[in-house]
Amino acid sequence: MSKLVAVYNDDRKLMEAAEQLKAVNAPVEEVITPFVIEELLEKFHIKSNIPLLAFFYGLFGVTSVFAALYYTFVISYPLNIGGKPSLSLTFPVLMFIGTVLITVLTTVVTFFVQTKMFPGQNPEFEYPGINDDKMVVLIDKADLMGDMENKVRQIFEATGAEKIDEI
Amino acid sequence: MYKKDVRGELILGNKSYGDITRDILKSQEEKAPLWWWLAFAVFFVLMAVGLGYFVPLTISKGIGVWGNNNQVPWGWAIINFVWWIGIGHAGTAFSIFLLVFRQKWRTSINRAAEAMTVFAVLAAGLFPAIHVGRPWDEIFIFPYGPNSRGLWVNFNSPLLWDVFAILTYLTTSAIFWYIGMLPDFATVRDRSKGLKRKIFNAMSFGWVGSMDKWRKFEDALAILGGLAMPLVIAVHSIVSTDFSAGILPGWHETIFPPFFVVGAIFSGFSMVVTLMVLIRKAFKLQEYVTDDHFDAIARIITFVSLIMGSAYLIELFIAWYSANKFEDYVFVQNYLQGHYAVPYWLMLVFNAFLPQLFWIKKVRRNLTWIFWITIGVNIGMWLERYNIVVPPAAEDFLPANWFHYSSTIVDKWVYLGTIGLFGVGVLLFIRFIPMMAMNELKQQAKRHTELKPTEEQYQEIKNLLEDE
Repeated sequence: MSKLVAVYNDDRKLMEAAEQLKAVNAPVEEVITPFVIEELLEKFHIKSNIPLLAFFYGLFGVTSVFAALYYTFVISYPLNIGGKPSLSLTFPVLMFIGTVLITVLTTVVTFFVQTKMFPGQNPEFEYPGINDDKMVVLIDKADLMGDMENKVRQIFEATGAEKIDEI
Repeated sequence: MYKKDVRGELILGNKSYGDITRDILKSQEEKAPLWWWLAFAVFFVLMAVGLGYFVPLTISKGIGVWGNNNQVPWGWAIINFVWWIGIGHAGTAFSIFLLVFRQKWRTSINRAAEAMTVFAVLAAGLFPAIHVGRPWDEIFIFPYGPNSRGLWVNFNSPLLWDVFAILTYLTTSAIFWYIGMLPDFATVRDRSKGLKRKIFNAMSFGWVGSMDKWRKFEDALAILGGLAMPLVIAVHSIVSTDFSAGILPGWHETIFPPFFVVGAIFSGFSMVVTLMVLIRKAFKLQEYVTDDHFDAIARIITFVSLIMGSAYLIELFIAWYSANKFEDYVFVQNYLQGHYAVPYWLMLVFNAFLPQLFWIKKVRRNLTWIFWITIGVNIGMWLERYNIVVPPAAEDFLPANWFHYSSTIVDKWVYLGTIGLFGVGVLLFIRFIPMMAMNELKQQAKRHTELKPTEEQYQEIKNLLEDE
């Protein structure tokens, strides 16, 4: 499996390249950057469902904590504390804290599951400087039909790629 | 959108992305300087003696070795607990509030502030844990099921909320801190060899900066930040209800929750500034932590100091206005002129008056002034907790019961032990972990690059598109 790698050292040039690649419908496999470039993510329509999932985790959290409090304090062992009702107005305090805890933990687990990251895993792609100051555009050569490869190479050269490499 | 024409450069010295990596990682790639070893030795000894000898002593002999007595049941332990929790709010107050409010200047400082949070909350958690007296019985705090007496824990008690709030806060801030560091761990991984590479490989979870991962990374951090922001307000409000649910004059106040939250942000910001002054001096990072950064924080501290000052005034006013003899005794007789006048007036000077010097531009931009004023705020905030915990309990409703409080050597050493723990933690952090968020700094540097393709390149691209 061979891949075309264009290395950039400036995000403006990279954005220019992304623009052009989009225009010719080039099959860009991945763009790897040492920091987040929001404009790039917008350009490639990268979306995540983490915010939506987190909302449902929150709903689950708030109902389950309320259920737990209701079970312990109203059903299982209703204590008489100064004649106050068992279904206490102080429940929201723990419901809030518990919801935050549950949502945080489940969101983090979702993040790691979705990105397939776990402790000790080796990086799936390595290239000198991609976590330092180099931005990399990856294209699988198998996806390049016809004269697309030439076009892509031309774009890389025209937009000032530091290096065009194959791995 | 950050407009640099209006608000000034965030990173000086026209840094390239590679420069940022090298500058920030210098502290861990070069040999540790002498001062680091000296400071580490001092803090380590404090930690070893305080936590290694005096904490076991407290547990084996009981709380009697502390200065607490029947009249003043909460002494230094709770003062220190609230003080550390307050400092622990720096990470959230600083990092997350500014993240949510899109204040871009946070990037140079947020990592250190989050690290501080984790160590400060660890130090804080120790005090209630040992103040219980029999730490092995702490399992009864958790609702693990009806306990041996068939009872559940009391979910209506602020003391129980404290347990949940602080553990949740510790978990959330540690996770937020760690996830934010994943890309930077990958940077360190790529630059190191041998054992260090293996360790950072494990710690970076195989991070690769692909588009999908960045999207999820940003979203996950935003969610965690958004959840932690109200959490910080909840945690310290809950700490304050430990007091305000009591009936003692001086504790029984509705102003406590906002007052405590603001105080926590106040001390947290001050501790961040104190540390950043030292880190900037030690590692010559003045291009990343600029005078503008300190200027911005100093403005916030001035504002918060005004809130603190008005809270003190409101307490005094309400004590007088309520025409309640006991309230009047605590505030007017005791704080302003009685036995506890010295700590009270020192607190006013350190918290309400001294930070007002930041109105002067020269003071805001002078590191020495900033350093000493923020040290003063940290002392002032400790005294504030002292004033809350001790005087109202020592002299309450019945003069026949009055009994004064003085701390013992064990109290002092346990406190020094937690300072040692905090110091050791921070020193290890600046030595082994990228102490500024490199990926975020690069993102800031990006906003300053103004590079356009040359005329030739434009033409070439245009031709290419026309062919299409």
